[in-house]
Amino acid sequence: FDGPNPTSASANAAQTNKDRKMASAEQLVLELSNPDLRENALLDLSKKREIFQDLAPLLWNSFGTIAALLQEIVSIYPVLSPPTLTPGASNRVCNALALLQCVASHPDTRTLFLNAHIPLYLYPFLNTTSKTRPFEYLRLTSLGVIGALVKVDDTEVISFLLSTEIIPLCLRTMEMGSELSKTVATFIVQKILLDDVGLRYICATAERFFAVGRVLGTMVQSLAEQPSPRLLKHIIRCYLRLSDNPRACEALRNCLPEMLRDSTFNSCLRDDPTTKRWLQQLVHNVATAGRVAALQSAGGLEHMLGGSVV
Amino acid sequence: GHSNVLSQYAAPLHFASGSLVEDEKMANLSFSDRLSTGGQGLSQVTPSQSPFSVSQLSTSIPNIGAHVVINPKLSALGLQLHFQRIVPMAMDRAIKEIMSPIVQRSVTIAMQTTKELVLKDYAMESDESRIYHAAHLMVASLAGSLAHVTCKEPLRGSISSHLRNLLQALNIGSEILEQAVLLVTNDNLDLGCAVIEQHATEKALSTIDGEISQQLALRRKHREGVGPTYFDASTYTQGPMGVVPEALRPKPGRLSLSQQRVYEDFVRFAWQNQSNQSSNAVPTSPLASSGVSISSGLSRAYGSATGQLNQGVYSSGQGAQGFGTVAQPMDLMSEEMDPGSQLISA
Repeated sequence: FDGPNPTSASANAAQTNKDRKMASAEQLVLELSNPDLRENALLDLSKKREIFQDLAPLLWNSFGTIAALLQEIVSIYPVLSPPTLTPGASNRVCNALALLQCVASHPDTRTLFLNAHIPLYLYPFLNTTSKTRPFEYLRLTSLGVIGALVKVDDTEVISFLLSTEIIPLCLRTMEMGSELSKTVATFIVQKILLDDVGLRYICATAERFFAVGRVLGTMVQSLAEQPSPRLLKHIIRCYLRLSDNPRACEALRNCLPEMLRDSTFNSCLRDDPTTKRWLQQLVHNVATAGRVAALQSAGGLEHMLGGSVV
Repeated sequence: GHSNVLSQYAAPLHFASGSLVEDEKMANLSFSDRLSTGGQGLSQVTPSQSPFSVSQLSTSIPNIGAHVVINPKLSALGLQLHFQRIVPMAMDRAIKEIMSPIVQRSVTIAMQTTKELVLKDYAMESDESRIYHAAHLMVASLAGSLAHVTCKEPLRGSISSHLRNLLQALNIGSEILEQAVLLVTNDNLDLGCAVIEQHATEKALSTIDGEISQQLALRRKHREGVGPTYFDASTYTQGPMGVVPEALRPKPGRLSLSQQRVYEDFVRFAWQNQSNQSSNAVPTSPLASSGVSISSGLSRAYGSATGQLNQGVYSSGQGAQGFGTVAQPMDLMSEEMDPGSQLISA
């Protein structure tokens, strides 16, 4: 099959190259099931996961690979509290998480991944509070897996996450995480809110709404001191989406941070016309809700006082 | 009793912000709403769903008094005798208080994971005893690990508060009391976690067979119907297995040694077998403890996974229950907040 002409030769070379890549992916996946070779295979595979095509179905369908990755996860549970996770152990489990992120992102494996409840094994990581680097990295990578799930705008994903207490875990990171993990956690909440099921869920009770509203408000306050355009963008998108719900919009009249209505963030948003437009829309929505409510209560007063309105 | 379980999970909020009064008010409103409608989607612990009754539990925590640690430092405080009496009681109560929902949730998750992964990996296995064996190893490890990691912080709080309650009658100075409570809690926390882990493991082992036997029966039927061609190469090169190269596939007949070993390795991760645990852990920082209260407060607001997972994550019933009670609390909220309506009622 060695074609004599140069075009076919280079095509063959490309094909050989691809085959070699796949062969090495297969070899590495095979090595994952061997505890002695696993650490190295995890590192190698997670580094090359972008260049291996269809790594996710390979990970999922090969024998024992997901089971082995789950072992990596539960094996560090004992060092979460008291927090004694070492940088090495953190790197190792984060490489395993990177492979799971790959499975979470792929359309052929996403549903299988959810169906086997794998995201729930990451929740204990999101529940940690240690501020050391190994823990920050662990939380960030775990959020990355959840982030990969919500990226695709799939109601099935949103329903799964809502049924498993993901919101309080995200809120927790939004309260105490690093700027980067705050951004990912806020992104996840934003994606959940953008789904109708998610918006309904969060606005279903005052408790839920205020839990989210309070954390968003706290983040806005801290952004005034330490600006982060990307975090601000997701926060504003969350508020704007909340304002789509009439009751939430009314509640925002009282709890939308003043800083979002004055000029505090003008310079932070200077280079981001989209977010600036979102913010204008948000302020407009809330003000309109205020007018409607004021009209209604004025009408109520009029009625009560027999027409003698001030 | 159950009210204790509920109150533990509905522990008062300790948010950093100053808007506590409002929180409490809202919390009360929607909590009573929950009770009156019995909406399962919102409540985290629905006692009727629990597979354990409290009386069952008390018989199944075997002789905890023989295992509790009474630190010699306590004798210096002149408290050793009291503690010998009180610590087993506090442990027993604390474990009972938090165990049921945590075990239930952990077992539910571990069963689902095990069912999906074992049936997938052993799709070509004709010897069912191997399938059951792998499933047992996996589900025991996963359920136990999940229960252990989930129960630790709630159990810490629960042991401490039961100790405090039981010590109240003694009129010890509060500083000494707090020291003693901290010491005893840290000394016995791992014991309590181990008990809960053990329960989860046993519960998972007793339930998993029923969960997978149905699937295996279907497979058997299919195999008998199709005959020897069931293991024909074409059967498993079609479908999702088609993408998997030969070496990585589950093979008809026997698995390779390293393949078998993956599931055997779940034994290594049974928490109780780990010898290097420090049992004298001190709560790390004020942040850690406030984190716990945030989490339990938020769990209360959002409902734990327990009830919902039990009903199947994708069941439509859950949606209806969870969202059915929507309007009322939000209405209450806007009345509370709307200055206009206050004017009217004034």
